[in-house]
Amino acid sequence: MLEIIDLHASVDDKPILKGLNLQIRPGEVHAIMGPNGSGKSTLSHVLAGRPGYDVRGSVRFNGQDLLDLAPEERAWAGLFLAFQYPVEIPGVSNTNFMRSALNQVRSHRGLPALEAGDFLKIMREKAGLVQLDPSFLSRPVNLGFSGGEKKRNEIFQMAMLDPQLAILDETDSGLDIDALRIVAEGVRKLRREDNSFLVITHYQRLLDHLRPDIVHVLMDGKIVRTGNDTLALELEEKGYDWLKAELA
Amino acid sequence: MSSSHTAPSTTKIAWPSSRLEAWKYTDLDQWASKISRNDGPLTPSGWQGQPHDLLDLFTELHNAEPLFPALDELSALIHAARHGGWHAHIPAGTTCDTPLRLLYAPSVTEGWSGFTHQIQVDEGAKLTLIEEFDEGRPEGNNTEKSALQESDTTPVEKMNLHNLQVHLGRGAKLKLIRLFHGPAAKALVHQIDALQEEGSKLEVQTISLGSGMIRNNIHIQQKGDRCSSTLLGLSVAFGGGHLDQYSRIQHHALEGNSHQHYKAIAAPNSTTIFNGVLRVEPHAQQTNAYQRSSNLMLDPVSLAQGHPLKPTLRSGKVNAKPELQIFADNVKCSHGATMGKLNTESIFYLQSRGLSFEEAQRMLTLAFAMEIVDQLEDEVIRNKVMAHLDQLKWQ
Amino acid sequence: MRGDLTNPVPEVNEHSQEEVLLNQWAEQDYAFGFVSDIEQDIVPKGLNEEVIRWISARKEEPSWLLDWRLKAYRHWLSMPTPEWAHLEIPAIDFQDISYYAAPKAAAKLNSLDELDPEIKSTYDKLGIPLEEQLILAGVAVDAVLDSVSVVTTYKEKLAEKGIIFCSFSEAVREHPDLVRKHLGKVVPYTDNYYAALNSAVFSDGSFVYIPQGVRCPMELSTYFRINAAGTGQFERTLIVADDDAYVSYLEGCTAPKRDENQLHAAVVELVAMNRSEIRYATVQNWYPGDAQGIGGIYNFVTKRGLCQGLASKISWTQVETGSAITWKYPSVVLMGDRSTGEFYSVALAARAQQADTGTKMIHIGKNTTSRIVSKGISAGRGQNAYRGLVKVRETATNARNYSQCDSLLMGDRCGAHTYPYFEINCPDAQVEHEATTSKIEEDLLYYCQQRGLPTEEAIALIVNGYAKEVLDKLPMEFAVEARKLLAISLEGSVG
Repeated sequence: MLEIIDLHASVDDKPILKGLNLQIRPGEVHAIMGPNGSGKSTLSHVLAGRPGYDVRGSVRFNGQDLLDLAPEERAWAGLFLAFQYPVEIPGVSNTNFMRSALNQVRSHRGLPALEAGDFLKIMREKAGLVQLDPSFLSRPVNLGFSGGEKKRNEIFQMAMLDPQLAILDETDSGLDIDALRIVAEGVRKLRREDNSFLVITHYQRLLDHLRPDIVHVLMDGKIVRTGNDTLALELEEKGYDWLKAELA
Repeated sequence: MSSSHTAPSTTKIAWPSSRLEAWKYTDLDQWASKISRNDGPLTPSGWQGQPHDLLDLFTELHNAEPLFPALDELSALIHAARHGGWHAHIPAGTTCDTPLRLLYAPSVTEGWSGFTHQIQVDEGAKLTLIEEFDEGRPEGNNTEKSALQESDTTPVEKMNLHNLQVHLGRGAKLKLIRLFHGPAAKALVHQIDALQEEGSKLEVQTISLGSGMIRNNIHIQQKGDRCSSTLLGLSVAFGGGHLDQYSRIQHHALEGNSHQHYKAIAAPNSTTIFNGVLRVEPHAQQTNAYQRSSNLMLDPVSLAQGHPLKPTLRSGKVNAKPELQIFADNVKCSHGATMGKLNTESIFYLQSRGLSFEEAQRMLTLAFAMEIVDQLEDEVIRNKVMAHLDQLKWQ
Repeated sequence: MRGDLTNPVPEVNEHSQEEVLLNQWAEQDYAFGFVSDIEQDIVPKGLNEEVIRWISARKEEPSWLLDWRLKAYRHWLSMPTPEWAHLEIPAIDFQDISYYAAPKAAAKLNSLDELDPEIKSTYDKLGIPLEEQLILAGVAVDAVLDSVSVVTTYKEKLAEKGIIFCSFSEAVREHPDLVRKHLGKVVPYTDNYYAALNSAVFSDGSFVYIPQGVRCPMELSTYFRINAAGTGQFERTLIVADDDAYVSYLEGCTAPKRDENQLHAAVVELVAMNRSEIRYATVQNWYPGDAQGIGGIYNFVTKRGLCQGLASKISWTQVETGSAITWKYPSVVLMGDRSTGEFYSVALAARAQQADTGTKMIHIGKNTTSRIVSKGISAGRGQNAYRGLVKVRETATNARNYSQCDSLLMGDRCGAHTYPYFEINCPDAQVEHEATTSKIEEDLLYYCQQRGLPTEEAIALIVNGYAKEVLDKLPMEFAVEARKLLAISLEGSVG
């Protein structure tokens, strides 16, 4: 589904990703862990197409060259990024925003636009999935939401847009235990054989809920180790220094 | 309702000099020089929903005395050279449940015309007045306008000068909701001069849209204690429009409140101006005053990206001058101003959810305006403004 | 106030108690108000071309400079006297001012031993010892008394690095090419009324040149002192930082206490080349006049920096506590791409002082950034205004500005005003401005008092906290000085 080969990215001539390789197949959950500044968030933004990065290398998504596409085209193609810092948009209600977005995505997948009634039904259902209070739907996107509410709103949007590959960028940061459980539960319910997840995180606790198939360690712009979920536990216990030492 | 009075339109008018601080960014002389100056009587039309017991006839006001001496030279000038106007008087204790709705249509004459209007709201009375300087005469085949159009080249045939005197008695409440748009607001100078007595409340909501020149002055004198003044405004300038929002609130008494929030959108080739003067006189203790000006500039390069012709456009201009003049110490006064383009992070966020770059820009631009539009307290005006904004092609 | 129980004192309300304190403190002496008895060489009062020729001849100037002065003078004659909306300036009789005053033995000294002991003691009293060994470590001083520079310290040490730090007159003689290249380029004589006047009659000031790649190893400082009566001071300062150079410069100002108003009309020009940085700090404490508004200096100053080079930076910091009237807008023209301009200001208007100060940030180059932090304090019958312009030209893509202007009011007879101007012609700009006006938080005052601080100390503490962001930008010794100055200037101003 996703194939990244020798990906480099830099900002203002400062290299951040330095030859990253990664392959994700349908139905898999991958986790990327790594110390601060290792390039985790850069990876998610480069995949989603945020402007401001100089990018080299190849990223193929279901056979398409992802790097050639505008951010919205990537969304149409089925890529979703749950932002680490979701943007507040005053004046645009969650409902309006999602209706525009969903109808765009549907039309590019050859589906008809939803009737208002059907849309509302789906929206309520998905909001229930992450226990998002319906009153949030009429409020401006993320405006005045707490950190946890913003993250839940991201997962809600993910549920609405039904992507093939969802990247969760530190979705667990800023969440208390209950919110974490709700988010993880939501993600688990969305798992299918034909979609995949890339979970970027610092901590083990989200992974406890999500059970990744494959765990990668990102350091200094490269994936330096790949393993199964025991690798995550090892990192949680010992930190990154042992790995650094081993690599050096 | 036609006027038999012929006012001296050819009078040489001493327009306020742009050397004056209050007129720094709008040179009326220059605008006036663009006007063809045929004289002729002005024929007003289209008063709507006029409750006769409240509103005096248009023509009778020629000889009416002003409610109070003119607050500045411009209102004196308009008064001296007036063609007419209306007068509303709400007696003490009267509450007008239905808003009074006035439509100003442009006359067919050229030149400039002056009007003085008066509203006297007596003690404890309450009125909502809705004014539209809109439509009237069809403007060709009223096609969609593009925010990217070059400067509007249709000649400015006439300039309208309006001075509205407002006197609010003790505890009186007045809500003014205004829409300036279209030919009637092609070259418009409107000045409210308001005197507020103790405990009165004044709300003014103004929407200015377009490619013409609009100078909107709001002068408020809070004479009595515990007055409140709430001003809300949105200016959207496109096609070479020049929209100048000027307010001056003077607190003379105790425990006054004033709250102002203005937003402006400047499309390429167009200019918006905000100048808000907040003055707290000595002894006006415990004044609480707040003023905010948010200005959005549409980026010609991003806009042109989505345009089939990829035109080269000059950037719009935003001038802002929020002023505080404070002579009392026990006060809380603040202002804030921001100027900038759409947040690129927000555009990206919307794109990442599947909206195109153009749609993302459009959605965010409209959202910027909606923060004011949503607060308009008249559904008719609100729907009109939304329709105008919706119709406006940003690409 | 705290009467004992057996002999209760009548209740005095806090306000009137503070009134009493106010009256006491309003008479508080201006610490630097003494006059030094130095034999002076003063040109007779009046201004005409003869006087300008006399000044120029006296300073042995080349003819190009005399020509420039005369051009400026003729231009000045053609200009109307400025009227500013928010300042009350009594008419100034420019023929009643002497345009040149110098200590008799004014020839530049070879060593400090030759300095008139009275001059030396003047500077000692001001807390500016001129002996290099006594001086604050790492600060070189140029001492300007009335119209001439009397001594410059550490010149040789600086010369080793190729740094030129000398009086303006000396620079004209020793480095005419450098002076000629930059004089009037940032502030042309046509700029404004007082800049034109200064260009015609300027006497002395400092000249600084930092060569390419040099980081000036010590703070450079000029100490301006007006001593003679009936004179004006018209100093001119020019600082040039060549590519990759760095300099931090400070100026301090005082004057005797007199009933007459004296005019101080200075021009300061800064030029920053590629990647260079100039930090310019002022602690202005000219005699402010008394509580009734009698006497004091009229401080009409044009200060402007040009960020000519790429990624250059100019930072102005000012603590303005003195002068009867201050009219001053240290500005930065951001010409070079990625250049930065900063303006940090604390301005205090107590007694009957009027201050109208602020900055202009003119964005021309790409990716330019500016920051404005202004803290106004009004007390007594003082009127304090922030006036600033942020202009973003169409060429200045991606410009950023942030301004914060706060005003603090103490007493109900003073005023605090904010006049920010924004002229934005480039949609890429991101400009943000916040301003607040309020009185000293009573809760805060109460809290300090409850912890045992006397009112005036509590106020000084709070005011210093309020101004901290600006004071922190000063080199440490000066920050200490500025804090004291603020506290002293505020004493008795509380109502």
